[in-house]
Amino acid sequence: MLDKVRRRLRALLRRRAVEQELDEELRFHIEKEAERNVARGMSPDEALRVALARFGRFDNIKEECRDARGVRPVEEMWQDLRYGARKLRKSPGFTLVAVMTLALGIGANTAIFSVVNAVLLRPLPFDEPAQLVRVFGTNARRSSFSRPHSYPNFSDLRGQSETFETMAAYSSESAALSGDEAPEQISGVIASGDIFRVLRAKPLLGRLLGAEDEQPGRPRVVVISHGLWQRRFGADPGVVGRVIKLDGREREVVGVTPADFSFEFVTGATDYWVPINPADSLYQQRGAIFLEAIGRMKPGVTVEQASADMGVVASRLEQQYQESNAGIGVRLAAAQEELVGDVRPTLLLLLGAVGLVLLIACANVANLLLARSAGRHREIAVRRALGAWRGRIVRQLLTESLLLAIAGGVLGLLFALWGVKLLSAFVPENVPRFGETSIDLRVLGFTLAASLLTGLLFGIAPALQSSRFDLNEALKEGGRGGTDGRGRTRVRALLIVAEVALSLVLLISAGLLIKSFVKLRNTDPGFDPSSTLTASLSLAPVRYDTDEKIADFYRRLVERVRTLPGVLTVGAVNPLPLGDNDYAFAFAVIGQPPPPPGQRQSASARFVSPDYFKAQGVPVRAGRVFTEADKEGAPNVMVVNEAFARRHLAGLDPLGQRLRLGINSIEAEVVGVVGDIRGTRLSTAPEPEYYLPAAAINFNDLTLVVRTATDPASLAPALRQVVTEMDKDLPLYDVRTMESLVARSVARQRFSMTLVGVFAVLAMLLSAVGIFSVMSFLVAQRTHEIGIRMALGAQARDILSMVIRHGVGLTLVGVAVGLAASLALTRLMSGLLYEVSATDPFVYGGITALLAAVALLACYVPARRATKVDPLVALRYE
Amino acid sequence: MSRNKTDLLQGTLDLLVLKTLQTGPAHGWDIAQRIQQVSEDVLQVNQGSLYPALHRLEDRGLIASEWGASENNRRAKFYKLTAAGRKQLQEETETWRRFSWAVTRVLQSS
Repeated sequence: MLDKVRRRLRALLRRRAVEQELDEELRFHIEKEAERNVARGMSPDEALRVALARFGRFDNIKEECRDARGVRPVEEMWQDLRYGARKLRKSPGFTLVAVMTLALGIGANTAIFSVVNAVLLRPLPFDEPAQLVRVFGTNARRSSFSRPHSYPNFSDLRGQSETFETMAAYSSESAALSGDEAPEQISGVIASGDIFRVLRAKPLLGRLLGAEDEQPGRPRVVVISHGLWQRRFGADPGVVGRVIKLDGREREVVGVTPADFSFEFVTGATDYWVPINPADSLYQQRGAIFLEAIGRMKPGVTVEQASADMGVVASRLEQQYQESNAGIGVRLAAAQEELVGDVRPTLLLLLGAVGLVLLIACANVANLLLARSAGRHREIAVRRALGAWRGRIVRQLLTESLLLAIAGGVLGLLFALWGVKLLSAFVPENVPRFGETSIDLRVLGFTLAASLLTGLLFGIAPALQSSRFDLNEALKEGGRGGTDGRGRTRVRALLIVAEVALSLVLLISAGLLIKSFVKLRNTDPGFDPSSTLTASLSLAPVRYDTDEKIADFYRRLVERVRTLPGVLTVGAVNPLPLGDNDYAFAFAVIGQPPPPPGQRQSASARFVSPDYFKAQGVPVRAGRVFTEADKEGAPNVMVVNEAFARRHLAGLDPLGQRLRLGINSIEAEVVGVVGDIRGTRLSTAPEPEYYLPAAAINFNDLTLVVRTATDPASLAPALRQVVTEMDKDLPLYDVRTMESLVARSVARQRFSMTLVGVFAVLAMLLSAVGIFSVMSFLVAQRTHEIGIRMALGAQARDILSMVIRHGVGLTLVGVAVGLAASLALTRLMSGLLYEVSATDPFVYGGITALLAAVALLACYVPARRATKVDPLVALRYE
Repeated sequence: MSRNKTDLLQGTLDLLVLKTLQTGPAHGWDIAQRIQQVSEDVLQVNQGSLYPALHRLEDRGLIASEWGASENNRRAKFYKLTAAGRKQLQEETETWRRFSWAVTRVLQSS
């Protein structure tokens, strides 16, 4: 086998040597034969003549010997390649345009595919990722709600499961890292000890957390990320064993995670890992739900089997703990699916859009090839006349197309590298795994496949067309300077129709996305995001250990910030609307019949300072908001939004209603009603919410909301200064304008709108160029005919309308096909649209008019040129 | 063409080449000579098909070639059987025996 490969390679690469040997071998034979003949008594001349005659035709034998080497197809391909390359080099203009068009198409496809590959296709970077599943709680009453777990519940699920190797609970948190440098709020994960066993991660230094760390009374430890290790500890190899201060509390660093380890199941980067301490009272209540869970199923167990197993455990818990667990079940989802399922529609939309662009690019190049082949009639006729069979010519022409496509692919790969960089500049931050995007083998394979397919696609029709004619007609046509054959005109017409149809689909998709984005941006969030700066603080519970200290700090902070120049109003809130958190708490309206167990009502709650509503620009609808007097010890009061009043206090006067709240089981009286806000996402309708005075609860975490008279971002340094002066170990973090939070909440829509928009414009330009070149070509072809018409008295107007009619006719067919395709396809993207129907008549009409206008223009210019034909010149043209 | 000289069937030539090489390496001319001699001139090797056959057999790995010196010290290409060729020879000889036996039987029946 190896010998064979070596021999064939030699036949290919050392062709000359092999040929020489063949000559020598045959010559030796003839000489031997002649010698024998001489020995039999012939004269030397006679001997040689007889030997040659007996041998047969030299050339035929050599051909047969070459065939016997088994490399003939490769040799022919090599011939075709060299011939094709020579042909392409001879027409650099054509080659450049074709390669650039293809490079754009293939490059854009490669770039988008490399993202799809990283986000959707590549398995999660953990050992045997298919066995990783997320375990969610469910609530029978709220079907779409993924309920977090309480620690006792999680422990039961973990302990009683039979299908899991191990399971871990986690929750994201953040803490102030203080020390010699400026304090920094870093984000981390608090997790049960098995988390790294679930992920099967190995430490870079020291050790990772283990099950033993989850026992009560263990020393405080922390595992830090590679990033934090580099950033804050100068990659010190002796970091293990060092003690750091997190939220003012000392923890010993026991290990560092590797550079390529990332935990995308929480938003943002994870800087540190700390173990759950089950002795903490928060971890002993079955009602305190805030933990996410992830598990590793035993080998061979499927998600269905694990679901069934978990379902049994959940219903056992339901029986056992009626009060807290009635109606609570579990839902399992493959970890990867759960992580990226959300962005899949967006990415597939982009892949589809960019695929259409490539198809249009193909049509354009096919068109160029057709025009070019018209000029190659004679070359092909001569080759056919010399005995090349049709298949051989088709193969040669296809080789040329493949050469073009591969050149386009190589250049496209460069475009893609650059494109991915461009994408990463404006990809929304909440697209998981985007950072893993790279050009790997699969992407290269995709590019190669795309190039080859593209080459076949745009090459096959022109190649078949060019090779199909009979010699007589070719010579006749050739004699006249090459009018177009009927078949070729049909192919051209088809190309125009396809281009128009494809770009219409893309343009309409872009139009729908743009309209929906405009609607989204014009949506009233229920508050005024302009001129507002927000910044968060977390008071370390170690140092701010009493309610008085917390209340005092915030009171002094708000007072000092209020005196900063340019500040109008200062409020404080937790959680911030459009921020990263959301707290839902149960409540019951006093005087109403209590709901059955497991059907407790709950709503999002925000804890706010008296001036918050004014600072955030939330309108007061009835009653009053909080005052300084509403603090701990005062009668409990609350404010609800209109959605809350509508849903939960229907038919009642909200003011004066008393509610029992799940937090600390307090009773509070509704004293005011405020306007609804879109607190989680701009695209989500307002939810019922209620507000409580922050001073009555004394949260360690609060976010300042500062309304300014000047540019809000310029206030940030002064704000930091105030905080540092008050507590040098206290970091101010997540300093953002409210506008940027609004923008962030629509970032994904903006992303898909921009990209699809760019692709659609690209498609439109390519189509316009396509229509323009086809029409120009047709006009050039018909110069003779037009000349005759004009000589016979046709007016410029007649010629103009004749050409335009032809182009517009084709465009209209394309529009009809495109509209039908759009109606079928845009339905698939209705999930990505906001308050716009997938068949919005305004978008359909407007876009169709736009495309028709562009097509008309692309026809008009060549048509104008047709009217400039001088009959004399045209007739002499022959 | 004389009646007592027989053209070789395609494939039969391959078998004869392999058989000839069983006795040791030989160059093309030698092979043709030996076939003719051994068959007492009944089998005429068409020299035009001998070399393509040799190259085909070499491509299939049944024979291998090597340049060496001929009897009177001229450079010549010598062919020899490979292990695969030896096996092939055995199989084809067997097939041929069965074939000729069968043909003989048919021809002898009345």
